[in-house]
Amino acid sequence: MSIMDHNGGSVIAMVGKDCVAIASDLRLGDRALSISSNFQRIFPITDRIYVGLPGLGTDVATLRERFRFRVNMYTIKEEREIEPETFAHLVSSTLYEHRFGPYFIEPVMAGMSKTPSGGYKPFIAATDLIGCLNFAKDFVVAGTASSKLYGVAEGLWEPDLEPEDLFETISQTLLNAADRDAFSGWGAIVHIITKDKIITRTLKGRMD
Amino acid sequence: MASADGGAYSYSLTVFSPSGKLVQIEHALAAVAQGTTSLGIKATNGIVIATEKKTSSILIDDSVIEKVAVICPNIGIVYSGMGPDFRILVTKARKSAQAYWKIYGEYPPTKVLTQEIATVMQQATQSGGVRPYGVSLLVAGWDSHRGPSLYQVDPSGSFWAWKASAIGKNMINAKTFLEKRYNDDISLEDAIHTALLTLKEGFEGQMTEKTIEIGVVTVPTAADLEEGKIGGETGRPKPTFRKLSEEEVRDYLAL
Amino acid sequence: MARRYDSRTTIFSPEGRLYQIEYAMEAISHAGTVLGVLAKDGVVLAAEKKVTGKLLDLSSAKDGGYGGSGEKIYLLNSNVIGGVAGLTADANSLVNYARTAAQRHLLQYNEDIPVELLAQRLCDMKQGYTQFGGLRPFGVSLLYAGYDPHYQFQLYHSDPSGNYSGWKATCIGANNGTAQSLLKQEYKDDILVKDAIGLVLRTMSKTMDSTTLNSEKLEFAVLTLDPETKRPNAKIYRPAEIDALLLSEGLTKQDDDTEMKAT
Repeated sequence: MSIMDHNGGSVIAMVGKDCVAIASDLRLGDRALSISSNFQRIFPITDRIYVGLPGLGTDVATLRERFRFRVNMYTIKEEREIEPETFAHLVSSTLYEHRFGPYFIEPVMAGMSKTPSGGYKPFIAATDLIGCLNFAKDFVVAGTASSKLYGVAEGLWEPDLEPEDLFETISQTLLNAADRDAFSGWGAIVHIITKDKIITRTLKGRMD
Repeated sequence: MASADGGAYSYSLTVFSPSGKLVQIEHALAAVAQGTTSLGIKATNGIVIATEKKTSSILIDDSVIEKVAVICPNIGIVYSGMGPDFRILVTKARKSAQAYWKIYGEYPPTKVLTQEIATVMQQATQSGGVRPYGVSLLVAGWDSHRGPSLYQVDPSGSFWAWKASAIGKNMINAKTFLEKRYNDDISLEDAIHTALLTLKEGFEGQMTEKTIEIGVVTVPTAADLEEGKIGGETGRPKPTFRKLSEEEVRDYLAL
Repeated sequence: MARRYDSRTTIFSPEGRLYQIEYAMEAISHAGTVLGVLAKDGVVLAAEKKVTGKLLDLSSAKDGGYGGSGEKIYLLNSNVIGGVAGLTADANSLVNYARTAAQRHLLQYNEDIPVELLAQRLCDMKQGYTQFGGLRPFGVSLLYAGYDPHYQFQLYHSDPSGNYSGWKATCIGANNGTAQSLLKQEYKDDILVKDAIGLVLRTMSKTMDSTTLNSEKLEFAVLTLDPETKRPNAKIYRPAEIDALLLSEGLTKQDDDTEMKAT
């Protein structure tokens, strides 16, 4: 069994109309044994950037702390908050530093990026475990249920969904994909990010 | 002298005098004050940096001399002082800009690059067996956070942001001249004109397109910025810093 | 005679002195003053800027960012503000080291670095330069104003020798003797931030070299605790905020205007 499946878990991010959504399941397991139904794998980087870290549990914690270090240094040196595109490149270069002994994580990022005119544009990105960037325009998926997530998202996603509709779409995508995957599930958490607020909701799913 | 403990190369050459001064840095500033004048002016829509290109003999091929250097597409620098020291710093600055690009996928903001160069210069005042760099630099660049910014870095490694500044031989007169003529709303065209006038004040010899170098920072339009992003036309940022060609300099001088 | 022993940092003179350190401190005594006062509910820092001029670009301080023009007062971590006096380039080097040290602590222990520990990290490094390597010491003294859950609000001072101590109120740089005696007279143990602000500004106005007291010559910062989140709140004032503060304290002095009485 692959090391990426050991703890289980999946993350998905989607683009909507002037908003983005990022969602993950809450399961942490030890192979087939489920240990926690409360495991956080999505973290805020700034007020407008969230990163989801599916994969090996220990690396979730380590990577989250390493990104916090680097983003804090960036913020204090540049005297400004990091933008989503810049953060995506930071994620990519951090992972590539360990090209031949990688972190077993495939990060997913969602945020609102500043446009030159002063407005905000939705942004999502994902990388593989060694930092290959993917700047999708619709949705990005990762984790043990990724193949199922691709299928359901392709079916349910459409462009320009309003925040509430985006919430429904991403929730259904995640819940149904996770139900088909033995290593994902046990509840879900969804964050909807707009330019001035973030709405977080916890979903009750099949607890198996 | 190489030896296990570093020998004569392990001691700081720059040490405190009884009055608390770092005399080597004072001497380095004296070397800068002997160098040809350079100046920079920040306008609302850009920055101009300019310098005298003084050769010691007419037999020198002056087209090979480069006093205004491009560091990355959005930052350029000019110096006063020792040319060879400048070359080293330019190489280090370029490498630093690329290292930043490798991590963040974009070029550093002017302030960040200036800090990196300043760190290099400060280390030369504290490391063993090395002397301070005998140059002052004017760093001009554009970034999306601060817009156009102009920084001056001294041999000590301290740096400040200026609206207009001059370094080198004629710096005191030039600064006084600039203080009188500068206003916060100056446009880039006026700034270039003022820069040329200021240089002319202390110029020894003929001021032609061959004896001065000018670099200019412009502010990109929204379309330019889009092009540079991922998925844009070229995916590469359009340069905001460029050196004026001899023809362009000649045209400005004719005004 | 002393001259023979004063260019190497790591050698004692026959009288048992390290001259390079003393000379470094001499350099600091000419630098812009930095003043710090510890209150019950916060810490206040103020500093005199030495680099001024019509053509100096302060636009980055006006909006956004973390305030300050970055000459004297720096944010070291979300719970510590540093004020520097001495060689600017050396100060930049130390500030960078402090920021990295604070992040390393956060990475290892998942908590904000305790204030004294941060001071210690810097001092251990500064001391190393006085004992090994033959390199000259850093020509910088620092004031650290910070908060941690262990000892709440604290104020520390470190000098080029690597020595540090905790203070209720202290001053470094030019005219620090005058400022120190003024602080000794007026300081009260249970002083609150809002009164400490007034004390700091009044003391600055009496010890600063210049005749004008405005945002052009002054940097100002306050560290308090956010009452709701209970997290430290480091605020480095922007120039407009400093001018407003001086106005409200009745301390605005101009060359031309008649001097206003301090409250």
